[in-house]
Amino acid sequence: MTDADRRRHIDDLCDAALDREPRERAAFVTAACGGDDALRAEVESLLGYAMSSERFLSTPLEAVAAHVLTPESELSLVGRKVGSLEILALLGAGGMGDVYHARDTTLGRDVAIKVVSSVFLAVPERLARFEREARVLATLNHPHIGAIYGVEEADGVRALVLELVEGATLAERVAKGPLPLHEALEIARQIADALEAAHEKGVIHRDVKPANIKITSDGTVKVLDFGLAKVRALEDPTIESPPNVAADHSREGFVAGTTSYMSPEQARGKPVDKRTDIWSFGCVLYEMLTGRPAFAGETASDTIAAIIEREPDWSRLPPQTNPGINRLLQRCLDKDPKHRLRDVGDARLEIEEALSALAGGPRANTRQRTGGARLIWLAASAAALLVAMAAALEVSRSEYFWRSPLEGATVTRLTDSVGAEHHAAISRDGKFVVFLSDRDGPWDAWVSQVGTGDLHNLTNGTVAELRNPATRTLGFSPDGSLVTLWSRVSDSEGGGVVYAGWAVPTLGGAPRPFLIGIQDISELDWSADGTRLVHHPPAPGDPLFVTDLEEKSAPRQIHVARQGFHNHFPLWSRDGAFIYFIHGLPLEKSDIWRIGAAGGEPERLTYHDARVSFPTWLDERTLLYLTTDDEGYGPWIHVMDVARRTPHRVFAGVDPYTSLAASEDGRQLVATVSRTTSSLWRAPIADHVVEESGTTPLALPTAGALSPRVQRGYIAYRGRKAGRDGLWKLPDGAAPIELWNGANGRVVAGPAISSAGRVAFVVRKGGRQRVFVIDADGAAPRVVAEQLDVRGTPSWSPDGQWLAVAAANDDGIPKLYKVPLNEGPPVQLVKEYSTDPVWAPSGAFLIYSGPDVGTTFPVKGVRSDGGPFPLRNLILTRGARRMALLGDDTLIVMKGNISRKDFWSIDLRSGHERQMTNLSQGSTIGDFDISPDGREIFFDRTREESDIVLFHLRER
Amino acid sequence: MPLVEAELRRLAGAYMSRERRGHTLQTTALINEAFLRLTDARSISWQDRAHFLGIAARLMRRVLVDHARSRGYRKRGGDARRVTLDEELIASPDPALDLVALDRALDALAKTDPRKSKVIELRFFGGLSVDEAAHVLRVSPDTVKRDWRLAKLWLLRELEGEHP
Repeated sequence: MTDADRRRHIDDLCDAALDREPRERAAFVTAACGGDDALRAEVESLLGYAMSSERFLSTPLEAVAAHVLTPESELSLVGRKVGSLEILALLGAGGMGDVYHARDTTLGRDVAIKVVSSVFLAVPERLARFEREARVLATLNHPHIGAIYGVEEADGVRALVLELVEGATLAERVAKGPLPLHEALEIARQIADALEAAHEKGVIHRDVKPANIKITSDGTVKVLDFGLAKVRALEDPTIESPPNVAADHSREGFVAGTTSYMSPEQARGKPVDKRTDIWSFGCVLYEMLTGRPAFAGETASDTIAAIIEREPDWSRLPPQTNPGINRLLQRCLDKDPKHRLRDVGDARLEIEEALSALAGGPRANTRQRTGGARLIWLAASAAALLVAMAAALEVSRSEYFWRSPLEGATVTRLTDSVGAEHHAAISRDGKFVVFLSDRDGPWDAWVSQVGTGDLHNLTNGTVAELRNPATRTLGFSPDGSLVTLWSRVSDSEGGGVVYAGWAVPTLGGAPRPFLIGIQDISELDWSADGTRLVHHPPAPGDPLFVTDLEEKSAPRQIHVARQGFHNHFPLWSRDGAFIYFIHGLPLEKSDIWRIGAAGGEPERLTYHDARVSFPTWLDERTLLYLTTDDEGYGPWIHVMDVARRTPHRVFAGVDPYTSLAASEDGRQLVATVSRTTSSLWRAPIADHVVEESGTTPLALPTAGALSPRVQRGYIAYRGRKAGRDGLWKLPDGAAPIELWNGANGRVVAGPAISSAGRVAFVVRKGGRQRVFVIDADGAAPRVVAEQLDVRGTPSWSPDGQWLAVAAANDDGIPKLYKVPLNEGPPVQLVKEYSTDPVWAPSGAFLIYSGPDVGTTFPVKGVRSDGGPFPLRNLILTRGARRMALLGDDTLIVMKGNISRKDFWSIDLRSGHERQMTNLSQGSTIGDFDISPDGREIFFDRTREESDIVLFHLRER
Repeated sequence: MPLVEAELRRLAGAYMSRERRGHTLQTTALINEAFLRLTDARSISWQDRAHFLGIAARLMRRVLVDHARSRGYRKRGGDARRVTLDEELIASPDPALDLVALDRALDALAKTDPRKSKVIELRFFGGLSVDEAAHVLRVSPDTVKRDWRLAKLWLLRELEGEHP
């Protein structure tokens, strides 16, 4: 046997032995070597290094190199004294320098110190900046942040003095495997809490990873190395990324450490903001739940490739993971920072909710039967939910450092997720909550005494129609003894009359007329002292009246909106001097205004130009309200100091909120959190009424689907992907096509498809809405009539040469235009409020919607040349602006109440009406289309799942 | 390749002076940067890049070993096996890896088994992944993995022999 052969044989034996379990190796080698003792000795000698070889040379070269290239004299400070600090031992090295265990002889406490490289501080400007940053970091006084005590400089050494945190790192913990769900969430909550506090002070961590998170023996989580990376990066933007790559050797096969937690933008060397921490937070949470890094590769560059290109393996998440947490992770790990969860406070609330669900235990244990109603009251462990608050340090240098009123709040879910709940109100003393719920079928008002779990149905189906998203429909009398209701009752002529003057005793009883002498109340609010009312009837312009209840004088009108505009949610200021209200076009274009209680000029306070609703006071200056964002997503909770008038979004979970009300002391906030799902359905057009059983859902590639448009060979619709509304095409028997990605701007209304297959649709971006036209395959997107701020759904002329759209340009009131495709100027068709046109198949006229009055609007017509086209009187209910024409004579509309509608056909000549469907309730139809052969209706259905949550706010 | 070497040394120097006490030198980043500066990456095939990475690994080894030798770093002693320890040590300023001894051991290995020596050089000094190393050496990734684990046993024994 040659030497080479023998070496090969040795290799083979070692290799085969290494493939075996260590305890089996000796027997294997003995057997394999036969009697060749020399061979056996050689193999055993090599195998003796098997254990240590696993980690041999796994040190990243950069770590080795950095030290090789560092002068020896700089290497250790152990044993030296720096000012009042005695340096005891080296703990490790971090981004900015080495970390030592030291004793502060003056204060008699042990601290950690991070020695800052002298090279780094050689430039005077850097030094000054470092000092400034260190001061900001020193204000991060938070129970879950390793404290930064300050800067010590002496004997040529400059060091940050840090809290010495004893305990294991999260890296050590996850190396042992996945954490139990509850433990992982509890740790994540504390991390999120720490990051939230830091982000509010403008400090970004940039290096959130398990190795930077310590868990003390009592279970307290401390995030370490806060902001150091930021300080460093501020000094030298060229080293913003890649960040320090330290090694994680805890698991075979995952060499890269910090790299695993880098956000895509960090990995690409792009500028980063707080969203990079949110990414890393997502990575850490994923790793806690699965025991594996979300992104890992054999080398750093493999890991980076995974971060940039691949999704984490979602299937590894334990099956019992709450869907909210699943969704939260996906939102944290969105590769595009623009679409990523924006605020770690949202994560905290989501986690608290999940923890609260876990703490609630088996639901059967918390169920209570009260008057046939079930309430699931998940207040089980309020103490466990108490969020530690950040100690307030005076860092309020500007509005930037505003504090969220929900910071430190405890969240309690008052209802389970069965059915929808709405319009929660709370009594002034915070003891009772009332809300609308369809848990028993019809919408009823339910009242609950806070903290007891009791729940009573107040109305039991006796009040016909209680819902109206545009108004505050429920309230309490000042003493809390009565619940006031908005409702729509039929008058003798069969029309709808809105009357809020019903009241039910809070503790139960028959509804009865209330506030006799003041007729036609749509909304109302009592002054703080309870002596005056502000109210308005459901009349055009929503005239606001003030009534002094003690003087028993007639109501005095203080303001009326001009035609087409509305005033809603009237609210007394705490001092009784002003009426605050929401003014604008329902529901999408409004803002907060105020007017003196005696009248005068109204004053605009906000500029959202969005769906603003439910203002409520936390104290005399702090107004909380809901508004949608620039793209129309939401609504989200906002807060504004009315003296400063800078609104801030308050982050409270990832789902929208649809109602808001606070108790008088501002400590209890009751809100509706809402999750909607939408899908597409089809139903035949028959000569009889089609029942629910005759409808069929469509299989779709997107999570949400709205506004179907049926063409020969395909269906186009608005689809929601990753929380963004885009445009999709479903060809018969072929793969779906994304015509428009919602990330490029939200598609806000149904598309219109021309005879030539061109697709027109409205995109909202930056608060403006414009019409885009694309070819049938999604190619060649272009803006039509750029100058128009478009409303509603467009419609093509039958020849495909003109597009009819409503636009609200000069005065904010939408009016119909027809726009030629040849780039000629738009031609105005209607001079008054007009929207959502439908062009008749003959091209001769258009049908459109008029302005909202109360909850209804009229249907009107206009000739294609702008001349009059009178229609019979036709009034529809809000939410039914979409109409379709079957031929020039038959109009298909949605009729019913706000929450439940059916399809009807109306003969435009005879006025004859026929009901086409009888659909079950529980979902809302927003948009529909008739198939080209006229035999089917395709429609969307939105189902809402909402719940009432109660925030116990901490003392302000 | 004196141009390449000069460029690598320049870049290494620049990285080091930016953060002398930290660990921000990232081999892959450094080598990629050098590669991009020296070539028009878009017109270069994968094979050429693999070849370059092989050269870069060799140069990186030389640069670092020279540094260690010139400073008498080796005198700081240390059993190479101590490198096998945990994060604490890796993060410490004394990784205790005797690069000069490792260099010599690799030379010794190269005499009997040049491919194994090269695998160590590519993966440790060049920061190459298994696949990249396989490309450079024109062998299968499995061969690289096998060489890597067997070479480490051999080297550890060799290094221990130096520090009885």
